[in-house]
Amino acid sequence: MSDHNDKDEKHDEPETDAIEQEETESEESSEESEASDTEESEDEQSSEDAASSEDAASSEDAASSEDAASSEDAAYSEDAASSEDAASDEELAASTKEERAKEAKASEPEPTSAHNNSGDDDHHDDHGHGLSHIASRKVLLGTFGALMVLTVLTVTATSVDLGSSMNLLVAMIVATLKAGLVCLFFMHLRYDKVMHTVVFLTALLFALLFVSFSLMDSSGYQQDIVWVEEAAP
Amino acid sequence: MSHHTINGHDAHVAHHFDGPQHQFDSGKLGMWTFLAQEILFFSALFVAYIVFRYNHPEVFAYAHKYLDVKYGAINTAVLIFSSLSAAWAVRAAQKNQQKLLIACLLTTILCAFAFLGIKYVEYKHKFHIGTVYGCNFAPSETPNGTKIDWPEAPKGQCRALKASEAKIVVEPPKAADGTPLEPGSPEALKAIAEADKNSTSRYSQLPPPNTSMFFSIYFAMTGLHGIHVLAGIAVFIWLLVRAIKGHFSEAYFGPIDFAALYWHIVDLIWIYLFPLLYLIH
Amino acid sequence: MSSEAATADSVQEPSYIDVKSGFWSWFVTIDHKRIGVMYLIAILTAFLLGGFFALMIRAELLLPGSQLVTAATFNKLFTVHGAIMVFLVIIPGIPAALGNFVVPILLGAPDVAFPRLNLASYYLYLSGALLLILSLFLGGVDTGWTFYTPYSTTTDTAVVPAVAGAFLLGFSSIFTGLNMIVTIHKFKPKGMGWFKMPLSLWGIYATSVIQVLATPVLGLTLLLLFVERIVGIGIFDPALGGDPVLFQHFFWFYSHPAVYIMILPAMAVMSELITVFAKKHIFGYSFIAYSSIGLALLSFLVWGHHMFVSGQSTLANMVFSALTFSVAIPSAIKVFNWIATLYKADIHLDSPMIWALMFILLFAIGGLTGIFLGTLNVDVHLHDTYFVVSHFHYVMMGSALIAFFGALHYWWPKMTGKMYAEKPAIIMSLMVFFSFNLTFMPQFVMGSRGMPRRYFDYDPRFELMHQLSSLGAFILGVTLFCIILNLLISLKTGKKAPANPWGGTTLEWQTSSPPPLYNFPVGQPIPLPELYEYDGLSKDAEDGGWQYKKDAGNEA
Repeated sequence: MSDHNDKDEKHDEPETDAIEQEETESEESSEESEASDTEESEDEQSSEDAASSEDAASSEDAASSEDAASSEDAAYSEDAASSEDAASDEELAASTKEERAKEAKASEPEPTSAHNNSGDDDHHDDHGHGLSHIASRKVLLGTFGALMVLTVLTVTATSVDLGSSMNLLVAMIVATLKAGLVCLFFMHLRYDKVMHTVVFLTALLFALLFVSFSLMDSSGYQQDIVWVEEAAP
Repeated sequence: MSHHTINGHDAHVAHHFDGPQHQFDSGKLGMWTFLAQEILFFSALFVAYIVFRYNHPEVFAYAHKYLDVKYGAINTAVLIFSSLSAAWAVRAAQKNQQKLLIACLLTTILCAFAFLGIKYVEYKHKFHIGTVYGCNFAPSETPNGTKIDWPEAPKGQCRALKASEAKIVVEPPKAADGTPLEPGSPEALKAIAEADKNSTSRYSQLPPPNTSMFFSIYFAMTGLHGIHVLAGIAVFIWLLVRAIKGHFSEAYFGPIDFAALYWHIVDLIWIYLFPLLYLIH
Repeated sequence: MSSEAATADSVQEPSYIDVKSGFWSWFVTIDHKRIGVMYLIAILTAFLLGGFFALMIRAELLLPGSQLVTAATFNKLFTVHGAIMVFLVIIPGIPAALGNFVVPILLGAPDVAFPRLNLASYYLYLSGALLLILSLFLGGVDTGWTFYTPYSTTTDTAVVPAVAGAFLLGFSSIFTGLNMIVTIHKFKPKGMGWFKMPLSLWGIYATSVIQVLATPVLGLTLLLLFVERIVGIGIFDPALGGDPVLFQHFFWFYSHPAVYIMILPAMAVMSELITVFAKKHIFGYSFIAYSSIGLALLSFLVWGHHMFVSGQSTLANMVFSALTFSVAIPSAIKVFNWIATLYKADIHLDSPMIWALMFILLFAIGGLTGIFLGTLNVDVHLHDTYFVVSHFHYVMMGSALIAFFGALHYWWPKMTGKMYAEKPAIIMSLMVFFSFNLTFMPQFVMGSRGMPRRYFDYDPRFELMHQLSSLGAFILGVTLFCIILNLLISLKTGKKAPANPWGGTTLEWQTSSPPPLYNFPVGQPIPLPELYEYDGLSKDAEDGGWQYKKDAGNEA
């Protein structure tokens, strides 16, 4: 019954390979990149790559996550423009480096909480350290910022007259963007097992089904359920 | 062939799991399945909303003006911030930052209370002016503040059904400080003209038939959401106690992660409720 | 495959029953087997209660006019009979009681994924059941088990406790489903992929998906009804612009899939019984597996066929009627595969097999009459007649409950470690078949001739039909009572059950009867025999059961 432990043992070797590979990748890219780039963002990128290659099956997801990513990127490029921020970013990078080194040490002796495998396995296919992916500061703050911006946007959009159905459409698109951000980053769906996305989308699909059938019917019988007081028992 | 093993050594891993990873993955799948359940649980209210709005657009266009976008927007921001702190609590636990974890949990709880506080102010106002669900619907004013004389109903009868006898109250002109103006004076005429101009607005007139339905939906949706916020507060207080006792670490943070997922879905539902109820054009 | 492991080690480790004793060891247990047994006790008690109300109904209908009860009491009788049988017996019957017991063992796991949640589900079930029964003492409910508005919002009977009870029962069902989904996902042993799972797990999995996705809608519907009764929220109140038909949409969005919560586990068990007692590999494994999932998905698309004459729009009527026919496809796939499994097989007519064969026949009748009712224009004629009553009794009782009793006889030796008396079991199962058809065949006839359902009085021309039906019901009631008695007697006098009394190849037969606390001896390898391969098995184990032949063992 202890197949999970067995699998962990089995994966020990490929795991270390994966760590090495990732490290060499990040070294290479850090040579190429500017000094203001933080290591954390690279870490993020590589995990994002892994995530997106898995998510690629659902093109809609990929598209919306790209949107989100690009909006965040924009936010950061603004940040990076001021030299103060860049400096603080460097500090941040240094501290996170230390943290990561600590983590790596801490996780070495215990195989179960180690850097996990490379993902074709149904049981464990997360892409982070320890038990599951750790969201980076940038992702969390960026998501929060984007959500606030979208909230302001949707409130402002309401005061502009686009025709009631257009206004509704805009409000719903913004709400869905916000919901997507929450799901992908706060709820870690972007880095998480595909199964969780499947569960979530299945629930949405059935909710949609419920809405559409009920709506299809309800307008057909409205004239029959109008209350006439005189006719009431 | 695998051997039948029973976990007996790790305090944080229940006996029937193979190890922390197995326990965490099972818990997380369980939580996502629960969230699927939550989505379907709320879906029926969204169906009711869509069906009523589709069939009675005029009710929604009118009645949403009773709601204050300001409160809704502040609550949205509060909830998004609490979502951030919940997500950050997970990160803190994963990185074994005990103090930060406690701070994040505390922030989430405080935000949740703030949310409910604002909701309470809104509810109280609605009960005050009579814009409530079902038979109790008997607004004393229009969304623009024009007074309405809504008749009382005999005991045991439905007051909302007296809508056909409701009247707009035409008040004698008053100055800004509330003193009645002398009839026929230029100030009084000016005030009357102003009031006339104002009364052509749709929102100074009587509510359309079945407006109570908007508030039925409003109270059902925000009420159920509020109950979920309350449940979230209970869960986060429990987590806070455990965090203060130092139960969580990078090796064991499942409960924080799962509670945060729940909290995000509560946020997510509000993200839809806000435009659907407050931001109708 | 070591058959010794199963037989010899049972002596070493105490069974889950013996490991601890006393009231508290059961009351706060998190062992899935004990929880399963507690469910079973509660369900059988509820079954006897629901059966008692059914017999009251049939006694009243023995003659036209008022016999035993008043018309108002009659309404309460059929309501409570329906509510108890649906919410307390059939829905939790196989998944919560038997499923709880066998699913982890079928997976070779020590327990379900969330044992404490499992216990919580049980107490939710129990408190829901108590509320439902409390409503009886507060004057009963006369809405029918469907709680249709606006009647349910205006009647002065005890709707509130009944609705609250059904709400809790719904959440009990959701949490059981959630537990099963995670258990099946995360506890499959090494070497058991999705398509090497026993078919019963596929059925339970499909059931759990419906439980998780459909039951919340019932929960919310009942919550709205509850709030309507308490404060008058008005969403279903036409006087305030509310929509009473919407209630029916909400209700049937759950309650049609609920029919599949009842029948899918029954089908799951059938797939198991038929291959074991035919001693032949199941025909079309993947077709049966996929058809379970297919049924689960299709079940969400057809709820409107309950509303053909409820004011539903013509468009919706046509769409739902057309979609309803598609349900016949996966159902028929299963039936044909079972029959193909029986073809030229070495059929052993033990009592579980008798139930299984009954199931196929009764399910065919129940399913095919469902096609009549799914046909829009025929349904307008048959709606709310005894034809409908008979149809859903063939499915709910003739199929789901018959499968439950088949499964109970199949797993009873494993659960209790005792063999029941086989001869009485076979005779009484045949009596069930006879009396069940005697009860419900006349109802098809009188239904198609215009006898409306839920009527307390009737036209004298239906007298003979009603009397035949009542006669059948009385025999059926006594027989089912005796069947339960026969099982209970076996606890005292039954022979000790062998580890593998039927020659099954699934994992529950590879451990002792009853199993030890963690289902298999700790620290020993769990044998994983080749699924549904019976060649190596022979009935010559020392304990009187089946075992793998010594030489054939290692080939698998």
